[in-house]
Amino acid sequence: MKVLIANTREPFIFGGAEILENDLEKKLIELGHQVDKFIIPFDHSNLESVADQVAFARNVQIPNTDLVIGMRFPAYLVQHQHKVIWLVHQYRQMYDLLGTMHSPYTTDPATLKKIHEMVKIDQISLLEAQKVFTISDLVTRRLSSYVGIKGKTLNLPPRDSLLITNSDSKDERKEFLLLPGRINRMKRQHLFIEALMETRSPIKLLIAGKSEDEKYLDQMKNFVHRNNLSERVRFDIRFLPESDLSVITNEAIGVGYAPLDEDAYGLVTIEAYQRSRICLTLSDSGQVAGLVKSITPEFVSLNEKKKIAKMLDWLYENPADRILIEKSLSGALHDFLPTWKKILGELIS
Amino acid sequence: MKVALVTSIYPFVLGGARNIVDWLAKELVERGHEVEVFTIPEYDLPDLVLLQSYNMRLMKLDKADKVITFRPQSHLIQHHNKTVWFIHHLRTFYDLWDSSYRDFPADEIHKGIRRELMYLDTKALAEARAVYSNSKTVAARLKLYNNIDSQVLYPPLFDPKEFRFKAMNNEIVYISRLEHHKRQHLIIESMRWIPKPYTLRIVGQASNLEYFKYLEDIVQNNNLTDRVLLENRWVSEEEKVEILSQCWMNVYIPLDEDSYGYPTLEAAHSGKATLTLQDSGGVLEFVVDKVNGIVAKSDPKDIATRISEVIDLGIAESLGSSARERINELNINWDSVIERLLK
Repeated sequence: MKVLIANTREPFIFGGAEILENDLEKKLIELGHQVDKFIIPFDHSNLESVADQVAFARNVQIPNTDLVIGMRFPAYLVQHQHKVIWLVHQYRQMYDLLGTMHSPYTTDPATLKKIHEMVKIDQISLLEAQKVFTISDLVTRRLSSYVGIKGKTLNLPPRDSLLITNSDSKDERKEFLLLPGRINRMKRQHLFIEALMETRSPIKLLIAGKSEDEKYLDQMKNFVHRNNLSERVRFDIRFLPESDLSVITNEAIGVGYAPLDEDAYGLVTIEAYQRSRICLTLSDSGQVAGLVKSITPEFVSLNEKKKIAKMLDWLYENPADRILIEKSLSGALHDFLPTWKKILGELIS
Repeated sequence: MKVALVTSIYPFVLGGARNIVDWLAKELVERGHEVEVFTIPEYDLPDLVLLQSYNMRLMKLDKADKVITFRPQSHLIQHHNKTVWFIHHLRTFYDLWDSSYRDFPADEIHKGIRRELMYLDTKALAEARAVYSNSKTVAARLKLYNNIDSQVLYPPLFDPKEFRFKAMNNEIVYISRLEHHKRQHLIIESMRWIPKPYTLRIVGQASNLEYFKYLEDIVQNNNLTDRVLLENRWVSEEEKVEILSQCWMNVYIPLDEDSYGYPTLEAAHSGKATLTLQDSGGVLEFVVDKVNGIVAKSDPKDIATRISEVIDLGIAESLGSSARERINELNINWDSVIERLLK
């Protein structure tokens, strides 16, 4: 079957959605399908630009494909009689985030009218899809409350052929907690740094990822400097290829990931478990907390410095117990998440 | 630098333009640039070409420091720092308008579409910081139809280091898709007059089995089965590297090709000369007769005469090393391509 993946790219930001898109492409090809991609840039710095891009996506015609799989707004607006959507997230800035600091739009009547028009197109595009799946229960709930569409959750599967550096040698553990991924305020790396002030143990942090907010990064660096934490917090600010992540995850005694109210289980969490590392998170981290609760409930903490510090100390002070837990993580994850086979069965049936 | 590569695609059909985009993306990343690739479905249909053209004007890429466009109508994107690497026009509305390739009437509606398309193309090309074309042929069309001056920028191979000279056996090779316009039939027929022990190897995938049958018949009817190896199949990169490293001479004889063609370049990187024909178009921008290859008439007998001449003079190896030098002469390498594109 000819399958066209329609996805949106925020220019020069590479994250979980791009990885998911690439994995989906790979698995479809493995099943013998012909796959091609429609990738459009999405610049939402102002409403006029969003309106142009909505029109753009809506105008694209793809007469020679059997199926379109749409993933993100506005790419999934593309019109096709056989369209399914695997929704990564909606464009929340025109829904629940409207009127908050996270949306760039004002709420005067003229703006609201324009937003309303785009919401209408969004709804029509979702309704015309033959089926709408989402990547988490949270996205399914939002879809139902914003648009009134009942979607079906197809949670993220484990990463396929993820690079895993495997070595049991204790010398390679460097007694730091790894905080991987993009660096911005929503990902809240600073909470772990602040918690270091409350730890008993000398546990260290390695913050490794691409910075999307220089001001935020500077604030963290200043905090480290002011509080004499330079020996304990290291920054590796760049996009890390999978091979590098695999090596440093193997060296770490655990992974920390505490984004605010995250949409999905998160690839950081999933990859940590596949690489047999405990993942620390917070109870207000949305679906990430949901996954950690199901695998290792003791590593979901309240968003309080002392409580976070306690988890950090436990990792440092209990290597034997830690290693015992590590051995069960990958298996537990695979039991809990759907397989690619199931996902492709649903998307293509 | 943040570089966005934008191209249209004909979904599910792979071809040369995509290679250029994918390879350029990798080479840019290797040099420390941030790169995004955007692929937009487009069809060469009269009912869609204008919609697709206007639509491209809506794309927003302000976050990119540089936008490079490839297959049409990607050059219509609006950006303050746009460089166009022009692969071809929508040819049925340009140079193929008066040909059998145009499968719609030249009525007022279609003439109107043509006028509007030419107007939009010319306007968008004039907005660009620089326009490069992939051959002199395409550059001449840009000048003729859009009055746009462009510089020729030849696409290099992705990993030319793979190709190397190992030895010279007695084999003449033609590795390419088996298509009528690639004219494998001419070289097979010429084998009637080419002396032993020289042999011919033709390998590539046929999109049309009839043409393959036709080629098989020529081999049979001329009793060439022991001297011509004809295979209808896909060739892996490794195998191609190996065949070219050992062969005596390369053949690339398409009819009026837009560019010099990757086979010519692959042979040159392997230190082997290419035989081409006077009406092979862009290939003649690379191959200079008796300097780094052979340019024959499109006639099997002339092909044979010219090849016999190379045999008699014993100059195949020196032509081959000149072919390799030709790559540098034309500046065909990623460093110079990227320097010019980002300028």
